[in-house]
Amino acid sequence: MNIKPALALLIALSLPLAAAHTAVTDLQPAAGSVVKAPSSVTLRFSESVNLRYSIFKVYPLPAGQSGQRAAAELTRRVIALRGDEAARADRYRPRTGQSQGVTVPLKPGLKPGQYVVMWRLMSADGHPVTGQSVFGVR
Amino acid sequence: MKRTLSLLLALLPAAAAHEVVSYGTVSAEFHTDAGEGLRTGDDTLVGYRLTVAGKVIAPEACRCQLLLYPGKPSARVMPHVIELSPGFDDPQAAEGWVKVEAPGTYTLVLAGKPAHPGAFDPFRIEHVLNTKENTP
Amino acid sequence: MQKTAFSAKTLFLTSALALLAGLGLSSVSAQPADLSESRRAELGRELFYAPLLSSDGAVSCASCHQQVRAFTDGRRLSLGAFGREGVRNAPSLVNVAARTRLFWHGGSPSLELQALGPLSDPNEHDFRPEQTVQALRDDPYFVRRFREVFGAEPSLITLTQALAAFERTIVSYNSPFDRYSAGDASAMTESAVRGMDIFYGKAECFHCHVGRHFSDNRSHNNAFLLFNPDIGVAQLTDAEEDVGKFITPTLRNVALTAPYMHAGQVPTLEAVIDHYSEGGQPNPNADPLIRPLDLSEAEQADLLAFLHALTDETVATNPAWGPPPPRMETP
Repeated sequence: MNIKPALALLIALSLPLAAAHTAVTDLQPAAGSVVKAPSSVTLRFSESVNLRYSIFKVYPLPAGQSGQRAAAELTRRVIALRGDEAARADRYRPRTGQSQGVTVPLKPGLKPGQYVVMWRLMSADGHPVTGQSVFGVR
Repeated sequence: MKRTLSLLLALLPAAAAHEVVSYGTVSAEFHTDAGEGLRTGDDTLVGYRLTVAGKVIAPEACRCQLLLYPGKPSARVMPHVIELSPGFDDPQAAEGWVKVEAPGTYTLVLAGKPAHPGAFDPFRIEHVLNTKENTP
Repeated sequence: MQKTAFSAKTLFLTSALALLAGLGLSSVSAQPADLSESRRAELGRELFYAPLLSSDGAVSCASCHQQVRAFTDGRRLSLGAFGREGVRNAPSLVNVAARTRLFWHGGSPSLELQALGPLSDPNEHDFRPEQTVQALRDDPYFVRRFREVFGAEPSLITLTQALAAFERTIVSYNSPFDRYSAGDASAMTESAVRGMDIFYGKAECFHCHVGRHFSDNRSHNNAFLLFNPDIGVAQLTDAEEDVGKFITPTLRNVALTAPYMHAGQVPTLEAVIDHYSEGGQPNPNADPLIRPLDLSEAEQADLLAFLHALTDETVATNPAWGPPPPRMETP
């Protein structure tokens, strides 16, 4: 196989990758799952992220609320808040360094209900990527 | 070199994740928060970013309407008019929520006119979306 | 008399029956051609203003086609028998003889055939054809008048022939625009002349509002609505591309015929101009000519002045088209 032309084509096709945003590729507990109170949440990313400029939080979804929109609206309201440790379900403390995954420890004994895992990542192209996922605790 | 090729092959889908649709000199890069499809029975965040002749333009530079039709656009059907706001992460993008109940194919229609006359030609861009099963 | 929302099936059935009966084949002319046509028009004028041709005895053609408003009624949607509201706006009858696609959906080729629509529409005259004929035959005055004009008792055919004959007499080509076109440079204001340039130039209104009657007699979707529950021409054709299309109305006397559009949804000419200047809604069937015109305020004012110059104020007062003289009963 003559690799060079194929490589050149792929490099050309992959150029937008530099501008593509980082994505969360795996989550535990999985989105939409209902689990016994977990001790942590783990996230994997499509590329290495700078943890210094990234935010990870877990919040309980207020009773009576459900769905992606409610979770997204909560995320957008609180993701940049400081001093909100009491309201959060996680015990994550800011870190430094590059990583393609992160583990977010949770407070012990989460009550049954819906929880929103929320993140704000800094993409390689400098654009922030905010997202969220919901899991349930039984 | 083979390792480089393998790595690029693995990363290629990520590069092509957002679909770009053009009308004349206007291009729209569409995005949804449900793997480029639509959830059923729950809200999906749908957004776009506009470029004119290759340059990104701010949402306020376009008097845009984002519509969602079940199936193909038809004058017999009232589309869902998606209420737009500036992108949360990207102020150059616009986004809004939409909720569909039935699985199947839907068509996003982005219709726009320039806020300032002559900035670009009025356009109408269509983008087909399918519902995704088990998308949280 | 033309705003009826006849179902396609009913209209085609009526068309077929009427054609079989020899209706709808008359050529359209702008003036009574001969003495007998003139006498038919006189009778038609009496019938036009006669409320006995309705189920509640209160609705005449003139209820919705009022002379003071260039034979429209000033309402968004017209009121028929027992105050029932129709679904479309009453169009003007001025120069209606020149039109070959009547009703907003263009479903009638002749005035005679067209007249059957509102007479039987439940939201208009609300009279079955046999009731209409019976009402005339029960009225000694009209029995006499039909005998004088047609040599026979009232019938559906002669009724529509008389009404159509009267409508053909409602002719006006005496607007400031007409006088200007005939060489009187002072007939239009400077603003109206500038507006005429915009009409035939930057705004390109003339593509649809073309010719002496300012209508191409064709159907278009003017993108006023993103979605229109009234499917318009598709009512007859069932074609996807015809959904929301309506026949281009004339612009003559438009200053007298507010509100505008098929459902009277636009209250003023200023709002009409604003709509076209903005470029309309992204309706899938929107006419490709609809695009932002970006008219300045001054240009919009000039265009408005030109539209006013298409109005012949005398249509509102010409006694020839007003209510007929009191009945001359046979002693």
